[in-house]
Amino acid sequence: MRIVGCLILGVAVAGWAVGGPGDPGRLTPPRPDLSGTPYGLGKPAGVYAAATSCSAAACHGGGQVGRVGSEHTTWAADLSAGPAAPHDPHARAYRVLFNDASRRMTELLEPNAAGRVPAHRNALCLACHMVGGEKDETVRAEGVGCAACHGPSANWLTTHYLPEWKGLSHHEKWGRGFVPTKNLVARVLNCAGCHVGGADREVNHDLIAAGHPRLAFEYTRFHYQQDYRKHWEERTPQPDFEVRAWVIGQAVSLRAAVDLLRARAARVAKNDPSTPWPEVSEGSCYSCHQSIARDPFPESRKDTPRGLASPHSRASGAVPWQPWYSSLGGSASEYHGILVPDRSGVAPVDLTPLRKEMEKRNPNPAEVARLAGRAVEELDAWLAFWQTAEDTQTFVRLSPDQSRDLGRVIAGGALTADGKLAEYDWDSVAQRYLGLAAVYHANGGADPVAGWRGPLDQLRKGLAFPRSGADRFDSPRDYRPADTVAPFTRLRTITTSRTGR
Amino acid sequence: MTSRLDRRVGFATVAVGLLAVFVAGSPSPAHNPGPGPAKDPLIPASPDDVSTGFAGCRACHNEKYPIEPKGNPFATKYKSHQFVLLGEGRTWNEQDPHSRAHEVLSKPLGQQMTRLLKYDVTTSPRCLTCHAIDVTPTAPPEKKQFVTADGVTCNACHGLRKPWQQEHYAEKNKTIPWRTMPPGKKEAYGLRNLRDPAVKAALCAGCHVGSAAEDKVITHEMYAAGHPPLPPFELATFMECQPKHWGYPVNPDLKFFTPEGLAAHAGADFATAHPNWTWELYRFHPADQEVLLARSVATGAIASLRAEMRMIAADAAGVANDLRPDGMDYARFDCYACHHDLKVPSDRQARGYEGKPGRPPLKAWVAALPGVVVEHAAGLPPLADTATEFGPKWEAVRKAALSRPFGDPPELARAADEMAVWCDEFLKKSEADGKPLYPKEKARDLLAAIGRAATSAKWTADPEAAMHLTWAYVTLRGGIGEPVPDIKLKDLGATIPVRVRFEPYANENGEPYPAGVQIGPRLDLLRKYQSMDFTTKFRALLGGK
Repeated sequence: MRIVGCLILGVAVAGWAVGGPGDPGRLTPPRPDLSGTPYGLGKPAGVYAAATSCSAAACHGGGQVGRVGSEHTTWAADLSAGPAAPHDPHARAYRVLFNDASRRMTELLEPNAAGRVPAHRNALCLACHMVGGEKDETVRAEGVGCAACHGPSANWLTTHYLPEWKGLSHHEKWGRGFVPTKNLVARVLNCAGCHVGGADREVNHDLIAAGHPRLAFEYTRFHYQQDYRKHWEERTPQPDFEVRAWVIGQAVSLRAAVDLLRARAARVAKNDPSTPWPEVSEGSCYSCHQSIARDPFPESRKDTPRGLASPHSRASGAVPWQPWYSSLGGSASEYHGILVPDRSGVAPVDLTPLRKEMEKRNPNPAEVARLAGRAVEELDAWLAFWQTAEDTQTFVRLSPDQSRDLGRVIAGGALTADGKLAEYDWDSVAQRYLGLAAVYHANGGADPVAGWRGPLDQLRKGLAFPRSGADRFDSPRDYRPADTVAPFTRLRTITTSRTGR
Repeated sequence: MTSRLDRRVGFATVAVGLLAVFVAGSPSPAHNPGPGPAKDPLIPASPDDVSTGFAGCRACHNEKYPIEPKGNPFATKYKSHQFVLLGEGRTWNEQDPHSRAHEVLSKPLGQQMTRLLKYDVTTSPRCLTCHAIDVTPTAPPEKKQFVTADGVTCNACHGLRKPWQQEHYAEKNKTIPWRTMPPGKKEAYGLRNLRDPAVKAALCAGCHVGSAAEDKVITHEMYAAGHPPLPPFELATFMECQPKHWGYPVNPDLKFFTPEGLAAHAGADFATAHPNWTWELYRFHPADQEVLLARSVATGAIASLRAEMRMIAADAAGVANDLRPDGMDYARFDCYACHHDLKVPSDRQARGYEGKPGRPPLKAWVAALPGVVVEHAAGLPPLADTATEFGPKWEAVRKAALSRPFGDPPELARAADEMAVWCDEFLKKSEADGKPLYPKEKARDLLAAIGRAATSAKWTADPEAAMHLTWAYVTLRGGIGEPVPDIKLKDLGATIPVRVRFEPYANENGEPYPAGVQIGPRLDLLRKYQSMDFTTKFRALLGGK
């Protein structure tokens, strides 16, 4: 089997057999153990220490930005530079709590000055804007420092450079408080803890309305963010990395989002008065935050969302639940089906009951907690499966056909059989764009199938938020869902032909 | 037009029921309570008792303007053209969208709504309670019957029962006694006294705000399917912007309502025996005693608040009692609190929030104008005491709406109900002694207070509140006789819609422009709304006084 330009997917190795249905030359992974739980969930145990323990010149503070041995230097911001010089934004996480925006948010959330706790002392903010610095001012000031992502070092600081460390499995390292970030599942779980939220950390709609940016985590987008000065290089370079990161990122982000919902609903079910319910940020942002100024009269405008008669199954006026995380994350099994031909016996994660409940105006918290809890279990089983595959470092070689099929599922899923847009919500369309872009970039920034880039650019243009002078829109004011039909159709066409599938 | 009018013939005797409205003092948010108040003279006893009217009405009320008395027996014999306009039906049919209220349901927008809502909007009671005539007002929705042929006809508003229709032109001793009959007696015949601002406001608000007790409820589901947003209801502005098939009694063209006109009809002694005849019989005060539109503005504001509070109370009570497990309808909340483009920097964050950030508040316009009316009423002796109770009651409603996302249903039901009861009280007291409340100087005070509110940061942040206050201000200034100069109105009109509708009301074929024609541009203006621009332009109006 030729492997030129292929995408490599991480899958489990134990029990691999040569030969799958239809392609005797391909490796097939074992069926996932659906009772598994991945390691890397929640905050690792242990005592956090300041980054000074990492930044010795001979260790990670080499002073040469971007070089191995200078990880801390690369992460750190030059505090004397103004405006801020390039650095890792995590290094600023704590300091932003002192700025005007944070002050304003605090005022809006607590109008009564006497009862107001400044952001840099507010547990809600600190839960993400610093890690492990509850008792240690130095650790706190670092914001999201080394230990935030790599784990509290008390149990591994003095051993992690010794030969014995290399003999430990990722699972064993996690047991010592070390986050094995080389495993994509463990890594993204750790990112999602803050960037999506979870049982102990969250950004709700109150906070967003007060000025906190919306969290819209998509791992590959964040990973390749231009102002993110990374202090490492991937061991598994392109072409495989980005697609793996995209698939795992989708599943992990969804897992985090559903777990956050579960935690919220469980608190409300126990009559916790401090948890708002219904939690507005569980719904699609731009389903509400769109102007109603669009001319409702179909005779004059046939291309508005209303005129499209999108065949989604919601009642008129119902708000889609969590389209950012659930539009594609919920189909992780479908991507898996492409990447792993033998999918028999693998139940896809069915979010339908949860979605139905959440699309009511007043979802039942106990029911939501129950359904979300079940979905988390199913997702965890998937993640455990992917995690093992990552650890074993044995990848399915993805053929050009599979790359094409991935495109067909992502683009084709946007459309109904008769060519209508299946879901016009901006989040859902944007996630499809990001998925298609990931496949494109994984292919080395070249068309995996001829004619891929053109429609991709068209989608990107249609999704962009406009600017208006000095003001910036933070919602897709000019987004016209109908304009996405043509590029999706084009992508579906080019990925459907010649495969015979 | 002939063919259109012809096909109306025959509907005159169609049995219809009455829109059961303005049951003053009834705070019940519950569904229509069976047979209704005992012997309500506006509720027909049986289908034989009712008629929808237009085909019958047009026999007399379909004249062309100007009226030529010589050719019109009623004008010649009874000077009817000095009492009413006589061309009412023509105006309604050719200019007024009420006449097409049902017809629009089968147009493309209606078809779209049918498709998205998955029920037929041309036949569903949910739509017909406002878009047609409910002939069974006390029946539950599934048992209702409607007359749909002519939309919202004459008698849909004026009263569906036959007795008044037969009686109101009856001659006795060469005059028409109906004209000087007391309103109570006319009502006993089934005429709704639309000359009374409180009665009128309650009737209009039944559809233009909504009424759960009559199953006239606009929902978010309907909006999302394409129903145009109901504009904030401001009685005086809606009156001014509706093609008028009536004349204000303070208008000198209607000579009947002058002392001389009355004397000519009822004899010289009548006014002596009825010193307060303008109010007693026709619910107005002469122009030198009261500004008619000032009372309309004030009454309309409170009646709209009451209608909205009853809608909210009904919804919240349903949720609180688990009759509506789906929760409060989004349509009870401020549309623009959610439906805005997000911007950085954000006007809203700069301005601050009424409660916790991120909790949709109730519609801002609903309380803005009442707040002004109440502030002004503190200086009006009959209303001063009641006025002081507004603040705490509204605060309770506001708190209940914001204490959690989409409100705390039991608390909201209670507070909204109390607010509605307060509105009843206020309206009752504003008419109780039959004396003028809004002489010109008081009307000017009210105008100034509206102007202050319209330029205060408290309300300018919300486009609908700003628009509602603008409407009241512009209309009231016209009513006082000091209209906003066109050039300034045009300037302000670039920042906010300054009227509900603009003339011409009809196309060259004598077909009314559907209400929707002006909605697209209006919504577009609201989308671009900038509070700073609006405030600057509005201040220019104030400076001009």
